[in-house]
Amino acid sequence: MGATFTEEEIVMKRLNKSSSILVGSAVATASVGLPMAAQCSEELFSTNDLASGYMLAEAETVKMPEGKCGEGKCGSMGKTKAPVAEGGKGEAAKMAEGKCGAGMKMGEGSCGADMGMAGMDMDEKGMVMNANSDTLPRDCKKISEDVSFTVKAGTAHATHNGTIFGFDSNEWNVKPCSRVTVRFINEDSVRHQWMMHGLPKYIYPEGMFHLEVNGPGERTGTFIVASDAKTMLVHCDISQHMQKGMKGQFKVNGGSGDLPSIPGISGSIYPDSYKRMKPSKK
Amino acid sequence: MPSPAIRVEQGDKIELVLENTHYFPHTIHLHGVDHPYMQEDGSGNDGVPQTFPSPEGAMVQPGESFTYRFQPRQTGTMVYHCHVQTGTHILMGLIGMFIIEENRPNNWVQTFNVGDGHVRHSSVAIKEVYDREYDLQYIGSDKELHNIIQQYNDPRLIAEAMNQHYKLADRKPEYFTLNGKSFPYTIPESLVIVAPNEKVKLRMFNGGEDMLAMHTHGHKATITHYDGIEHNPSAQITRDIYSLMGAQRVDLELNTTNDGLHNYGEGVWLFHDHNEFGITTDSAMPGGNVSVIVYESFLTENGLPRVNGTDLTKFFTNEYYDRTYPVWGTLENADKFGIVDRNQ
Repeated sequence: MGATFTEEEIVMKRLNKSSSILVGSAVATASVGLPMAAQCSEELFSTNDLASGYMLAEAETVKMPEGKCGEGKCGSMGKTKAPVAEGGKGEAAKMAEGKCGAGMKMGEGSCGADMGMAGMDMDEKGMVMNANSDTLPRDCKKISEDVSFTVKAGTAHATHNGTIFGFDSNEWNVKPCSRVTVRFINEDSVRHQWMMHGLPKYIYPEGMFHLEVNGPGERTGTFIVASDAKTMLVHCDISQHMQKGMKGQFKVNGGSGDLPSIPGISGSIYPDSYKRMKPSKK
Repeated sequence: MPSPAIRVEQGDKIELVLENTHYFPHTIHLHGVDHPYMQEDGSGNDGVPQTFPSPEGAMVQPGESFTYRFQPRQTGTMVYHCHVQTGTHILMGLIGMFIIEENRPNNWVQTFNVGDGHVRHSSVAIKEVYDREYDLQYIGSDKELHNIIQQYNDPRLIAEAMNQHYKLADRKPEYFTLNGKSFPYTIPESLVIVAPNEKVKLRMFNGGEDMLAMHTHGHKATITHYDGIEHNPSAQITRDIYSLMGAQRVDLELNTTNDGLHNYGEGVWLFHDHNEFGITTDSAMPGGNVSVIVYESFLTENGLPRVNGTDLTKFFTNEYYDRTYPVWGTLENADKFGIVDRNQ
């Protein structure tokens, strides 16, 4: 039950592999061009002043101690020391050695991108990918509010003309730095996904959060959004499901406009012609 | 990628689950496979919407799933295909081989042969007679039909254009594939690899609409089965062209004994459609369903046939498929065989 990737996502994946830069105010670490397994660096930042921008200049490559990162111990969300939402109060949180990133649910100690699984908690009925209820985006000092949505998916929710598959809602709005819990209910007998793109990549591999249910059932997962005004794509990536209606937009802080082809909200960039055609005479 | 060959064992109780993730209704019809018309609960098994005994499963709607149940009593190379709007759904690839193997002890058949071609785990009965086994599915595709699904988003418009505007009787395919690939990609993907003094089983299947006249260079094979049924062994026919109409199958016994009849010795022997359009790719020739029977002694370390003939690089250029490449592009005497200088 692997996620399938669009061309754009594959490009994103490659970019992510070769340009992971971790920054902090106290000790800055850059690990550019190292293989994925070696990219797991400790980052320490007691405050979140990313905006100042000087940290990139301070960044220096440090050699990681043997065995700290490899051997499937930590992914790109691995042993980061980051502020946590609760209890941490902005201090660097102590992550238990050998565990995965904050708030990530990992099966049996296997974690993250090192194993090419990008933080998937999965079984034969479904999957939660890149769940995060603790690690704050750099531009958030604390969680602004907890919100939850229930999303139903299936052909029964294809209520707009020209759609076959659908979500029961196609737009979600949250405040900056919200902690969002999505309960995703699949009412069909085939696989569906609630796949989101555009989250901060230094927390979420590929910038993705993803719920997936194979046949009737449900999965619930939590993520924390950043503060900038942004509209993110949500879709089902099973072949043609997005094109046939399973597409939505997730707006943070009012969003950054509407995406095209959101059922009931925006039109297609290349709209269909509904002129009555005649049978071809060839 | 063709619909994969499915293998089961004679007498197995089979549950075949169709999960329809697509945006049109579909079914599975078990063509030639022993199956009852109705299941015990009164629902159907035949996959034909017009004659289905129950509403459930008559057409499996998008997002739904349906289970066909059967226990085949007879063996053979059979077929499964969608029976909704067959004129377009089959011709766009919803068709594959369904093979029932003899019931034997310790028989672990390869349930799916994804991409077809070499069968990695043949059944006990096949291994008693044959050294190797290959599934060969041929399909011809009409780009006019295949382009329709890219013209619209609205599935109602797609369905109209496919089933009401597209004129099936005027159909003319341009792309011809063996196991989902056209030459030169058939060469790494769909070789028939053999060694001397072997018996090789070829299950040859016409998943397309146009007649096939498959020809084996260097070999005359014996047709042992037509449409999955064994032909009278004393009357079996050995020949070098194997004709297949739409959905037909022949099982071939390819004997690699160098006796001047069954085989003329080792080598890299072409096998291809002798309907010449079948060896073209959008009218660029050679292309289409050309592949080779290659002896192991003629394989390179990379697993490719060792030949010293034409430079193959031109087959990977856009100019070749635009048909602007010099016809004899690799010959040195370009003044005779190169691109004509129209300004001379």
